[in-house]
Amino acid sequence: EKVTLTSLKEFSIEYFRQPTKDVSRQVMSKNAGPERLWVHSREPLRLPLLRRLATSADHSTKACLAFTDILPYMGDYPTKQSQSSLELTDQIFGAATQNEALRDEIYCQIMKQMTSNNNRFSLEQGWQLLWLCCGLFPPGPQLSKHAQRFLESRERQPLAADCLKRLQSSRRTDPRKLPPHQVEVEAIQQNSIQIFHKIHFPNDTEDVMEVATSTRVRDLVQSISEKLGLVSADGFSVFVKTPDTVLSLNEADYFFDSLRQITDWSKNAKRVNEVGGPVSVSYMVFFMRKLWYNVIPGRDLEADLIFHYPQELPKYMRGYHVVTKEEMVHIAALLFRIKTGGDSKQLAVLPKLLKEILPADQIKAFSENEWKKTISAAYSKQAEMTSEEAMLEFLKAVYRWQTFGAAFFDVKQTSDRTFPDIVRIAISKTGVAIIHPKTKEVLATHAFNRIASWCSGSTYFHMTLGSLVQGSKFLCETSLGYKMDDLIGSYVNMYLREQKAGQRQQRFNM
Amino acid sequence: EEEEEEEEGFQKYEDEFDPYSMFSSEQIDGRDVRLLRIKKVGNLDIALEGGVDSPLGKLAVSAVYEGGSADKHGGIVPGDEVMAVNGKILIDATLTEGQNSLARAWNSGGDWIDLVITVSPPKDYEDQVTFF
Repeated sequence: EKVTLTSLKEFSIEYFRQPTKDVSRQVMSKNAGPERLWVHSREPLRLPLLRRLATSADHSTKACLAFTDILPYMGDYPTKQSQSSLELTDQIFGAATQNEALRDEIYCQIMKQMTSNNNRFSLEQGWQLLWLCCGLFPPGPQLSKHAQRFLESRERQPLAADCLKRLQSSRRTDPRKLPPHQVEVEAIQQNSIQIFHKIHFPNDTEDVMEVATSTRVRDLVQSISEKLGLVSADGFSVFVKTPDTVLSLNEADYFFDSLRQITDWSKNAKRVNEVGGPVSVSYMVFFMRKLWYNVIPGRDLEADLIFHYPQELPKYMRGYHVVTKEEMVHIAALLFRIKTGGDSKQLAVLPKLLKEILPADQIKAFSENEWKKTISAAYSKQAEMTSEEAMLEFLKAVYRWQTFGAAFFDVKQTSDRTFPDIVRIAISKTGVAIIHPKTKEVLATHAFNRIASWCSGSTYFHMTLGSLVQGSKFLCETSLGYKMDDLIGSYVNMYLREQKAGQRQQRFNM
Repeated sequence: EEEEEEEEGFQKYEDEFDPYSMFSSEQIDGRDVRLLRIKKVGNLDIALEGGVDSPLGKLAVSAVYEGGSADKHGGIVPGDEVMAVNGKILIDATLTEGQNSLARAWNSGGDWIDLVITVSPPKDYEDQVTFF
């Protein structure tokens, strides 16, 4: 049963430029017809396919460059250098994601190369490109029905149905900002239309989640929360950990765009000119709690064990909190229980474990013997409990402090002569606190609604407190300004959302 | 003197520079102000941020890109304040003015540029780690 495959022939009559006069072809065969631009070719393009792009030198160059990468990707042109698939797809799709004018051109170039193409490998590669393209941006209004018919006439092909789905989807959502991520390219190269990504959790466990081309970060947060059975997704976020830093992804962005932005930024921070191809930056995707409001230990045991305990423990161990001796002893007994699995024989070597169960700056507060005596006594008095119960008890203990759930930043401040040079900033649900790093005295606290404005650079963080007219400024030197900036912004947005929801509720109740 | 010039590649700062010849005590404020001479090879490859009209209030180096001339020189790092380039004082410059001055100095004649910076002291606090 012969199926007529639709091509771009009809579209090309109205929208493509004239074929160029190729002298060599005419010499080869007097009967050779004019070049059919809408059909597969092994020759690079000297001009874009679309007539309307000819007026822009910039667009013309970019269009032709993209084609010189489509050829090797599809195996139609020998490459001198070995370029990875990602390098090629970056160059094929990069300009079009930045430039709406080029989108139709790329669609046309790909469909051209898939027309009258008798090479099975080349055609398969072409399908991959088309599949990727359909996930990035929609074709324009004139091209749209031709692209649709192109795919429909090939409905028997494995990727046609999914391409049509993606095409439909692309018409309804925002375009992607960046070319496909390595994970997406690898997936389609293995003929998988489902894309998976490993997600790590702070308790050293991990899971694999399906992430579609058009999955936004907030969708992923939601689906991970559901999969783990968490009481609420509120306050959780997706982070990327590179060798340099840990950054949270922007909720509103597409996951793969956000991921690329961070790994690209991380790459560029090391070198300006990308002369060589993309350098692969090793990274891990983490899911964990970012904002600590409405967190009550015991309300969500899954969250307590997977997130709250492993996230709060290192902060406790670094000595960020103000603690009494009794509290330290009580917590040390719990941590001892967790670390040894309740093996009371290990009490004998308790002094060796002190640095694993006491805050770093408090180990020398009392003698080893004093610690051993008091912690052993507390341990014996404690009821038998599992490690998990002990983790919950730990959380209940730290929950009592003002600094519970805070993120801490040591900075060098230059605004207030009454403060020490180095201060510790704590950002939590109650606002921004400025703490003395040695005495842990709270020098100042600023609720979020008292922070008029804030901003950051690579080397500083700045905020204006009180009113913009009659306020005070806080300026400090830090490499983590962007993190403080982002965290404050997230808390403020959260409070604004709650406020709006509360207002809506009030109006509803009226 | 000749020996010193041969060793220039290994020296971070120019010895004979007197910051007080360029700036007032108020402007120097007891800080470590130094002159760097960077050889013009390829790109300077530093990024600036701030400026007099910004909350930071001064021009600071925000990045030194790997492999560029500034990186190879080794005498300038993120956090350093840019005070002057080729004799032009930048204490009251906006970010754009500072960037333009640097670009002009780099692209003008001569094999070197003279950069006066305030050296940012080494960080004696934990600046890298965050726990959420």
